Amino acid sequence: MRKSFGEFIGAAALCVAVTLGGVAAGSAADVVTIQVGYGAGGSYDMAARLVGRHLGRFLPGTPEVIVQNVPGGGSLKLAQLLLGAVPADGSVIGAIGPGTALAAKLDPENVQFDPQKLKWLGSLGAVESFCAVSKASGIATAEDFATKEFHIGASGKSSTTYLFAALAKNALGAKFDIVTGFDGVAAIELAMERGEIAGHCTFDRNDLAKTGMSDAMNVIVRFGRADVGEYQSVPRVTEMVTDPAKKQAAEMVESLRDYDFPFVAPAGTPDDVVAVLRDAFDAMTKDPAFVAEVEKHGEFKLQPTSGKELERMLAERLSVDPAVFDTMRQLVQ
Amino acid sequence: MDIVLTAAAELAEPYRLLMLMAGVFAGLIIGVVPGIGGIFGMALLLPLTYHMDPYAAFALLLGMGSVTTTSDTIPAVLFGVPGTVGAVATVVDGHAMAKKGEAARAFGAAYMASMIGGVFGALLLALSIPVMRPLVLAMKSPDFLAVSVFGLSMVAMLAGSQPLKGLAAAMLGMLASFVGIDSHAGIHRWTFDQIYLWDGLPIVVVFLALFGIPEMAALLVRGSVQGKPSSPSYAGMFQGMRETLREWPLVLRCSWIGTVLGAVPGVGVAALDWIAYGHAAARPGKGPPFGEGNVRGVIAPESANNAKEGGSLIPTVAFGVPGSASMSILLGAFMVQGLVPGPDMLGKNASVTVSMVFSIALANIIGAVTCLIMTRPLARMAGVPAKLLVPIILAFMIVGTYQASMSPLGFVVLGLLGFLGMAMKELNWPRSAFSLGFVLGPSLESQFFLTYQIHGWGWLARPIVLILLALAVFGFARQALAWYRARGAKAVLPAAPADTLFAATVALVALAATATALRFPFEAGIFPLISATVLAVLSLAVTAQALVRWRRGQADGAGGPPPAAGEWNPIGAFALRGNGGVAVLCAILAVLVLLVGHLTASFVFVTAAIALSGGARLPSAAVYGLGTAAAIYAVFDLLVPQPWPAPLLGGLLPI
Repeated sequence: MRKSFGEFIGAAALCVAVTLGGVAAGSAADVVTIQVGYGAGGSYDMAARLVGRHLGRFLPGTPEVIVQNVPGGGSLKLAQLLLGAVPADGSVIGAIGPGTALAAKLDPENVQFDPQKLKWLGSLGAVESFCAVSKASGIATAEDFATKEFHIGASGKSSTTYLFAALAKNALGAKFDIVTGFDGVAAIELAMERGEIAGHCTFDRNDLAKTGMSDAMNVIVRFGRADVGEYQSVPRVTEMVTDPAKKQAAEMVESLRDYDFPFVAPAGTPDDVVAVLRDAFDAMTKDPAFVAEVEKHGEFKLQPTSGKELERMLAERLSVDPAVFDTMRQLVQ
Repeated sequence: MDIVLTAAAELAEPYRLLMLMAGVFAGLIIGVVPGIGGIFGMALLLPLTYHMDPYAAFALLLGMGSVTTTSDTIPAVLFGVPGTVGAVATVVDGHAMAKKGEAARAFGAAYMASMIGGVFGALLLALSIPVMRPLVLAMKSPDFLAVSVFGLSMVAMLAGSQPLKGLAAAMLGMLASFVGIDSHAGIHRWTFDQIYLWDGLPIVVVFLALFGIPEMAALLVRGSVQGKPSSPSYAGMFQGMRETLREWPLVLRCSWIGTVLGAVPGVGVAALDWIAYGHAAARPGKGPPFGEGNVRGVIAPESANNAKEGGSLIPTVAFGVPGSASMSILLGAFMVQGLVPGPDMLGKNASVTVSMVFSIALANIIGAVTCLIMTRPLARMAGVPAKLLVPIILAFMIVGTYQASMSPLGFVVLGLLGFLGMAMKELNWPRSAFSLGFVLGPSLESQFFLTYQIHGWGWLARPIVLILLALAVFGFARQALAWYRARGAKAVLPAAPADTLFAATVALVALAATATALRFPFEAGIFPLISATVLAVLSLAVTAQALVRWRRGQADGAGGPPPAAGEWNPIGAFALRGNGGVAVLCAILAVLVLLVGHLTASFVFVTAAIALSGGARLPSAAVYGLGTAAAIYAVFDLLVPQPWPAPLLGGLLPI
């Protein structure tokens, strides 16, 4: 045994020597990787894979596009990696959550991340959010919602399920409790069906259109600027806030609903490459085959925003008086 | 009945059966390779289903998902390296059997148990279809909490011959599970400013490190898996199969455990495995003690982990709440197919649901039969010299680790926990108890807070809760009584100096954790605080015990009392050399992977290690190296194209 151990150490030296002589650089310039900041199977993963099947057609040289999951911290892990840990030559694109734009403002202690350093290529959707409760809960109106005691479900405190529930509660001075720690929206809805909680604050129209959902639910208030069709008459939380400072802060949180499924290029990507990627993204969102596949999936409504517009919106938002962010943090506590 | 016939007819189409077979074979391969498991497989196959019909899509996915826990037994039994997290409990007794030359018997028992468990799980799924929704709705948060508490009480069965160490190990595991951002307050707990740790310690890496690495060291010292060479026979395999059939009550009980716990969200396959194992350990039956190659220790987890696939489909199909991590990916397939989990799956789409039942049952049968046929050649590997095996297995483990994290920090975690595993193995700290704490910690914490926020303390009055808690208390008390009776019994224990040092180190970690946990806000801090404090008390007690032994100079070894019973299986005199050797090998390979990429690194490493250790001459060694690199390429690059991080030296040479 003593002998073979010594030999293993020898093996070590040889390993290093031999390999130094035989490095093969496996660069594959004809492959574009979309990294997704979430695990496989979720809606962000689906959206990224959908884009992965189409985007290549609109890029010069029609490269192969592959999708890789880089989950962690609600896509913040990937967002930070995109600031410098990946090649910024157009070979890597990131699919991150819209919440990353405000993450550093919401949790300055733990998150140091400047979203304006990323090159925003465009987003696919725009969604609204509804606070809705089961009819069985006995909560029927905005007034019940603001005055009665009941439970609203949420995931962790940094999730959108919590942000919008907290915003509704604080903006309306409501008395409900927010139960945190559910493992995703499906688990929240199951607890609602069991009668353990009344509802949650991140329903969208797709959810309400599910079998039996609209009959069993009372839709109470909404967030988001987008037109919501038949639900347009549901009161919008930011319009119910009277105090101007609070209103501005509430609108800041609500702005997270302005766009969804954004795609970005890493920080430092050259402008000409960014321009090519943005053009490809725009062209893809207008392509009939792509539009048809989005509709087939039914996961989200296609409502694209261009990269330039995203960049402008972000700059406008982040340039406000820092006091707004302080108020915002209080509103979602 | 119409629905059953429709489903059977739909599934019987050649194309769909072909997809099922493809899924089964993919699953068998994924199960064998350490570092990747069913979740990986689901993610891998999901995109292929975009253009399939629902029957074919679910046949492919469930065929794959059903059998990873059949074939993951192979490396677990042969090398003590779990093929997936679902085989960790099988390592303990299965690998002990292989070392005694009973690999074929272990395989026979395991596959038979897998097959019966899998089919039974499918059957329960089928029977539950009409009552699925009311059944799931009847279970409320407090019941899930009680299930977790009951599961944790199983630690008593796993605590081994030095119960204080067993309980401390469970607390240490629980503490390790709290690393990461907490799911309530969003507080960073012991993440040391590393994004890598935000989502906690990756479970795949934890188990590879804790079980795989120390076993490699033992293998290196022993020379081959099986001490005395004997050619494996089909007789051994049939003996194992008969034993499983004879133990049918155990198989059925553990299948129940697997199916029911599989349906409880948050209790993963790793947890239910240990619970089944603990259940069997409570009544060891004939044969050697648990941990030393008792066949019941193989049968129990193997029937449970294959039964779980049927169980975890229940909440997935009925409510879209994934019963396990791989089920959350399966939900993606529902979306692609335009199927909405819920009442429709039990009504107008019921034939799809029933076809899932058939897929699981068929897959389990095909998977087990395939494995049985391959038993003899596989069992022969137990006689292959360690000089050949260790470099090859390490290559798969290291590349698997890198694949799971794509970050050098994966190697750091593997190394640190590898050392922990080595120390635990040598010093009689049961790694099984650590595992149970690690897999149940998060669900215990999150279910407690959900329950408390919704029900206050009123949840304690629920009947299911009362029954489960009573069972937990009873089981624990009975075991505690056994400990009390066995106190003072003479047995060989680990060397006192090393024992003292390690226990004192754990105590220091526990005290540091207690001090830092005090600074977390209440909801994020209370569970870490409790487990850290209990760990501190227990490990100080272990330190004191070891110190007393040290002062007394208790004789270890020859001529004395028998060694302490249980999974304690130290390498002994050559431990430092074996462990050191493996540590150095891992470090070299990890650096190579970072420098030149996983393929070149595996080739060079395997070739050089085999040639220099005298395992084979250079030309044959190069063939082994090439074979390893080719297999790694096939699994990690061809099966799924993964963008690997660029090797550090990649850009330096103009090739």
